[in-house]
Amino acid sequence: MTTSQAAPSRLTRRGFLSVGAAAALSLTALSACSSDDGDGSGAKKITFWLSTSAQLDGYTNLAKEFEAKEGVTVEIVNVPYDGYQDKLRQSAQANSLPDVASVPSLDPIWINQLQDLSATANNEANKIRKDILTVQDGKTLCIPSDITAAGLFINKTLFAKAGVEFPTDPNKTWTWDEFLAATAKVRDAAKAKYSLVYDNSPARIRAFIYNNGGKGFQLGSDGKYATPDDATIQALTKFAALNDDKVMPKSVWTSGADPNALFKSGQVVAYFSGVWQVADFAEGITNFEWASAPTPGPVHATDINLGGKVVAFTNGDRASAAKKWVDFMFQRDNYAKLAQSNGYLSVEAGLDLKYPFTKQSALDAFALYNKEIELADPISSSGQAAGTTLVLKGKAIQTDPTKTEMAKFINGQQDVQKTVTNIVNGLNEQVG
Amino acid sequence: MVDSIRPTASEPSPEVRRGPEPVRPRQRNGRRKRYTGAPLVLISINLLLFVTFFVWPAITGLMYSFTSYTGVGPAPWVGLDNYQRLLQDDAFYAALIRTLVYTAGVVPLTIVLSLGTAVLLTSPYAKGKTIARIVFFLPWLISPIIAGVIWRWLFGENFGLVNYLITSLGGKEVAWQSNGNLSLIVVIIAAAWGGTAFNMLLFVAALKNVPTAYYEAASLDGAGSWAKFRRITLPAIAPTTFIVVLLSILHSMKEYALIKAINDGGPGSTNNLLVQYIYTKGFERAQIGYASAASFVLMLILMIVAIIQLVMNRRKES
Repeated sequence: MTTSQAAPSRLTRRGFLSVGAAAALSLTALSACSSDDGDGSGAKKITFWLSTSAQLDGYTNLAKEFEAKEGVTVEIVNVPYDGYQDKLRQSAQANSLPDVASVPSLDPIWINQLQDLSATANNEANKIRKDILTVQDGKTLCIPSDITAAGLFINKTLFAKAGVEFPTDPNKTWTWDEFLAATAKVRDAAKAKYSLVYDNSPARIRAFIYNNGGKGFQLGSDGKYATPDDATIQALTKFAALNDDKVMPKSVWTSGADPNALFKSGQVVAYFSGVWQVADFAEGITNFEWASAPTPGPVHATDINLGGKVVAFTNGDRASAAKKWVDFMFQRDNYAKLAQSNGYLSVEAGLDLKYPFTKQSALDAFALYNKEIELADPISSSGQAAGTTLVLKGKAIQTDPTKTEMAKFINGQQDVQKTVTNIVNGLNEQVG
Repeated sequence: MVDSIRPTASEPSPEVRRGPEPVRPRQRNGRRKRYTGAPLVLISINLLLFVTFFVWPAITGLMYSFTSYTGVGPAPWVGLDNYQRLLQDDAFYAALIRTLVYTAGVVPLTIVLSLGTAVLLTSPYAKGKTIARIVFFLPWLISPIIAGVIWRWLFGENFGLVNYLITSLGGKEVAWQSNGNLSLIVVIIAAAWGGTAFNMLLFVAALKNVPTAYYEAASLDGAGSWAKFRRITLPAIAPTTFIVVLLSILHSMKEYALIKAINDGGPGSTNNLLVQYIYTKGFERAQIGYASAASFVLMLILMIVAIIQLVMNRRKES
């Protein structure tokens, strides 16, 4: 390529303006060409937001099949979980929501921009469980991608090294005291660093409260959160005391250290997390043997929740393609592939899922989780139910204050009473 | 003994009488028009960007600060309620104080590190200056989030490198994350490390502009290195130091990404800085009106800081 040195001198003011105008026109034309809105005959590209650390393959493969069949490209955007809800909020405020999203929870700010997914949800061929749908005025707002439950993982190698037994049947589970005694024994015998790491999340601490006989922070019939019972306050106090840098590292709940990474280091005896870790552990843990263990009692409970809630937004010409993608995702054969690949507990009844894990511990984990959900005290799904109730009233808990307030409590900034008061007030402030 | 160098007098002494103003050639109307139009055209893009991305959002933000706007829908007018509420909010004061402590820690450390590095890199005795300059400049190329992750790995309380080294040498693990003050110190060091690169470049440029004749004269007078640095170098680079201090203060008071990545304002909420407080209120709790009021208070504080420094600098110069 050659450049002419005389060229700039030939650019008079008029010429400059002409070039500018031509450039502006070209840019406009280019932007029109690159627009995904299409010409009204349907979009060729849609965006799908989700947040996952290990459940991406299923969607990626499905998106390829969808593109081959429908000619529509699905651009999958994996958004970090921290701040995902905020990002959706900001996108709604900026009028730039994605076309489809798998979201942790619905938000009144954008709920009126959702498409009705009833056709997919009520399609008899799909056999989607009706009790997990969020329906408002006959309109299905979202279809969850999977069912989730909180639960316990242990470092089986450390248990074996210490010669300590652990239960395998949720019918004959251990209590939290028995569990803590066992893990302390393992920690000392196997020279591990901590007994336990515990996910820094309000949903996970709900399970601890229920296991210890508390009712937690329940939404009352008046639409407000009530002050919890004494058992809840005792459970929170017990939980804070476990963050002693011996049983549990303080840094997870106070400063956001990553519990997943800590467990994977092999220096932690047990990890309280959730079913979605199975796919990650099946691939990612190679330096020791792990296993799912029954959730400790005395109350047999967990936190049953819904995985990503799939929603489609009303984004102009892309709305139809977005709805098609959601429908494609939940067609029985496609959903089976997705659930198997991502390690989902199914939302479609009667599917015979064959999870592609080679590790027996991963397959055992799914069997155990299914049994845990079966046996769980009804209180286990109350958090999820309250969320749906609020959404249908046009309200939602966007930022559950439990995490922040418990962090302050563990850090010694406030006592348990102040913590409980702040949580209740913070929840009620949001529900109005 | 060498006297400090002083800025050359920019104006003649009062005794010197000004001569008559030189007669300016008359300009034709067309020419005058051209001088009005051309500058306007030249600054138009900047003006447009300034109005679009600063003036307009600032005015919108100011308006929101008098409302209870949530981000969507109507914005009910609440007058000065947000400001009154802000002045009674303990969490706001806690964040403000922590921001001031953070700034007081970062700015002097940044100045010392960047000036020290610049002096070393301009020293005639230093070897491998080019490689050193690249190495020292690298932190500036890393995003604050990545820098935060690196520092988190280094000072991770449970399996961080620093604690590993301490325990390997027989010491006891240090609570870099769960102790509020240590946690802040880690962020201060990380911020100073990140800010050193750019400020170092400014200082290098300033140091190279100090006339060597001053140093030669001082050497003839028998001045030592420290005397030369104190009496010649520091006064000569004072304008650059002023800019570095001003920019560092403003940047530190607006810190968000680094602290978010290193300890998320923890332990607990101990190290929540002002911008994090504003973000939490505005985007996590959808209190856009209230967050806008807090933003304006922050802007006011920054303007006061800038004005004080400018006035002090002008007084010093005059």
